[in-house]
Amino acid sequence: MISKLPIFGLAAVVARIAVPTLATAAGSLSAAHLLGWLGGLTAFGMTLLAVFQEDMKKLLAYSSVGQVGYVVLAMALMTPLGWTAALYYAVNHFLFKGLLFLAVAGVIYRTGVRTFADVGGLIRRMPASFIAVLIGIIALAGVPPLSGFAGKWLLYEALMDKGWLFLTAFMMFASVIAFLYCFRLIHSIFLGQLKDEHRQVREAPWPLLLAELLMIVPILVLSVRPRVLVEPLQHLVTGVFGVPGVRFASATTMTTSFGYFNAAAMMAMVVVLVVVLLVILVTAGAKPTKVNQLDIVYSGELPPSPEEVQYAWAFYRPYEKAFAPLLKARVTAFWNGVVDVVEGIADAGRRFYTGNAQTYVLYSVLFILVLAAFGLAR
Amino acid sequence: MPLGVKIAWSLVGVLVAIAYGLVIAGIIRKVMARIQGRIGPPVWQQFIDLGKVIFQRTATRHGWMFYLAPIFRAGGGIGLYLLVPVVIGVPALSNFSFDGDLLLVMYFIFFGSLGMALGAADSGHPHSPIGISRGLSQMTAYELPFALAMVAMAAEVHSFSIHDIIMVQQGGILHWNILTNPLAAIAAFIAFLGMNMYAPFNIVGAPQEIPVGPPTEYNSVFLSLMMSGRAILAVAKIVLYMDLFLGGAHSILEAFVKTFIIYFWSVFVGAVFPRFRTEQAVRFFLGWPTVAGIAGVLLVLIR
Amino acid sequence: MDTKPQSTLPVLVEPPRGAEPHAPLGRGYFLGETRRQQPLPMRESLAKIKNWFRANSLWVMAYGTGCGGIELRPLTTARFDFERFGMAMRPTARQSNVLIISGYLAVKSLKRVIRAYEQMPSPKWVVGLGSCTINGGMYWDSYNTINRLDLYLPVDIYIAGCMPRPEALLAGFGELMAMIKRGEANGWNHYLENFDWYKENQKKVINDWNMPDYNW
Repeated sequence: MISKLPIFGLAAVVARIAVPTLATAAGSLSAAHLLGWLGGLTAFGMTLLAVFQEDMKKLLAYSSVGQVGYVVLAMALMTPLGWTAALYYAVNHFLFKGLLFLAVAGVIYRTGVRTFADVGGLIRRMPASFIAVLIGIIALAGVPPLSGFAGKWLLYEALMDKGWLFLTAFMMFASVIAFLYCFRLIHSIFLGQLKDEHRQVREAPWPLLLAELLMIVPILVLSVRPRVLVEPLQHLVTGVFGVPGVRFASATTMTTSFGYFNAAAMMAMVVVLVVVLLVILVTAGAKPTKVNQLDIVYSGELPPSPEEVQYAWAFYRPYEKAFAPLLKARVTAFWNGVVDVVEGIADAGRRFYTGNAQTYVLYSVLFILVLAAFGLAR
Repeated sequence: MPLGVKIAWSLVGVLVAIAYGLVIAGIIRKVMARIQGRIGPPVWQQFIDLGKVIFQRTATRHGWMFYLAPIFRAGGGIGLYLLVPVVIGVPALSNFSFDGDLLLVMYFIFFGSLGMALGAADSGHPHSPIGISRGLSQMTAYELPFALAMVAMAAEVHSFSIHDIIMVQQGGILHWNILTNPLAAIAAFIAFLGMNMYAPFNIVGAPQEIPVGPPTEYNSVFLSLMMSGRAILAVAKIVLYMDLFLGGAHSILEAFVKTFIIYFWSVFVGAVFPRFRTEQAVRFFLGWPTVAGIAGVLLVLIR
Repeated sequence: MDTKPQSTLPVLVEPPRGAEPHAPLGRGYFLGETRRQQPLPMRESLAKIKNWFRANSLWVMAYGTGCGGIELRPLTTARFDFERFGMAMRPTARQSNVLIISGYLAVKSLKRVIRAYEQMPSPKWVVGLGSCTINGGMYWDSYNTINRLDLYLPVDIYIAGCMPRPEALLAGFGELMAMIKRGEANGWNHYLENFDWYKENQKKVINDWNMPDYNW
């Protein structure tokens, strides 16, 4: 992915130069710290904007910008752990975002629409794409069993290790906001009510599915053994810093100075729980009857059409309301402000030119007096 | 301890936790009833409801994703419980907490919510995504004070390990984090109100607007698994809070008492407050609770 | 199963609004009906225990069809408190067990009531509340209400009166719970056994029948 290239450029540059430190009255303000907050604010702001997109590709694009914010933040840490986190995050993001873009491209290719409100319920027609997106969003959200969690874990451990406490909490907040657009993405496309015009839609073409599979396999491998990626990256980073940030207590357990995490045990626990509960669900109780798509509790009525029971447009309206002050477009107001200031200055300047010849004489006299004063002082 | 024995103990622990969760849910119904001047259902009413739901003779389902919601809800609850040590120094009751630290636990809370959201949305009922959109919005909001509190706790002991956080609180009530860092505790306990989804933050299942929220289409055995999952999730969260703020527990009895007290904090608040709207809830959490959380982190920094 | 209504009576069948796009793949107006459930064998293992659970956890569909709806509300209040018997109001049909027909039932409401009833999982019970459900009561010659509820839905218990007080309702629920424990309240199975008869009666009064003919 092209968007990751600058990260490696940034890494190459930052690795070679000393980090400039500004001495201020409040203590030293490191440029790295500034870069960190820049990354953090990017992650937060772009994630928030991604939540309110109505277009699939725009959502993914905003999300990508936000994710690069995390990488920049991790890079700004200037610690071995931070750099390992940044590189792991970049590689992992390449995998799951590539997967998501491919899967969404398949949907757009087959349905011909890009707006969330125009699709829905496609899980019945495109189950393979659905599974691809499901894996992609779980990795993106950083929810435990998949590889995304290791990235988040490394990032937070690195942030805490560095002592940037507020940024840690802020990033936790930002990454939870990412759940909102993850759910939006998968729900509005694949879940809910299948529209009538999409009842004949076919599964995405197989080259696309094959490409998705090529992304899924590394994600699953990384989910069970993040070590296969973390170790080589660590090796690279050690070339710069000299000391490793992550240690490996066992084949699957990673430890840092702050915590520990066993990816394989996590995966095993989730798989066992899901299988056991599925068996319980299938064997216990009455055998469920499958009901039709439109056969829902609708106040004793049959829903007139899928569109009327699909909640897809302006999905997070209350959230938008809550964040309204942050989301207001400010560019126009900024330039209006600039205009006001310039006009004010010009207006103040205009007051000198009264149009009265006597004032101009006064100015001339005052000017000569000032010159004379300077001359006397000399 | 061999893995087999550990799993057996964990299984026992999970069953006890589900039973305990159902009992406290029953006690809550009783307490609510008494506050409203009613007699209220028996405290074991939740068990009767669960049995009734399992014994229903027919069930309906939608697509195959429909199975996912109860599985993830229950799996998320059980998994969270398994990652949190219940009683200090008893290996049988520390579950699998050595496989992950506080960060894993924090993210595992979302596992159930996200899975539940995905499954419930597959039912095709409009109330499901509406409820989920509200729930996720609120979840992000309480996450900020919660994260600040967690960061304060972890920075205090310079470790994300729940064991370390418990161990630093030993030696009397004055060492408990709720007293050593009251500001972070305030932030976390207000976030707890949102996490538990009682009034004033019961906007997901808002009974007057979107009948029961996401599980509108769920019935019989699906609903039973969901009820058990909700019970154990509640228990796992209060055990986590007990470990983080009340110094953990040395015996099962102590664990019961402390978790009971923590849970009733949300019940007593819930009994007297009406419901927030979604954006009000979001703004509330981003307001004073966040300030308290920031102050809590500052307290750690200046100490 | 054919998706068109199977009544032999002259029933005016209007496709539902927007029905044409919903009939893809030639499967009828309702996206293909799911098979109708057959009557279940009434004997089941551990019936006594299961019935005890069912009787002590009645979830009432929060749906008032007529003026009797006003008598249901006090049941949740401090004075009458039906929650002490394990009862609760559920706003969704998929999780309800008891359907209370509270008073007169307009033909338009009947249509919705039937659908709500069929969406409820078995076992389920119908409570007829007030005289109107028995013989029409003061609406017996009204042009748009039905007179006898048990022609259309299997009523398990009637609570007579116009209107019965909440105390009478509680007494009725007590009787219903006793019947369930004894295994006598089997209206839901009766409905399945006589499904065609019920459907015929329903379609006789509902002219714009545009619902699927299923039951589970």
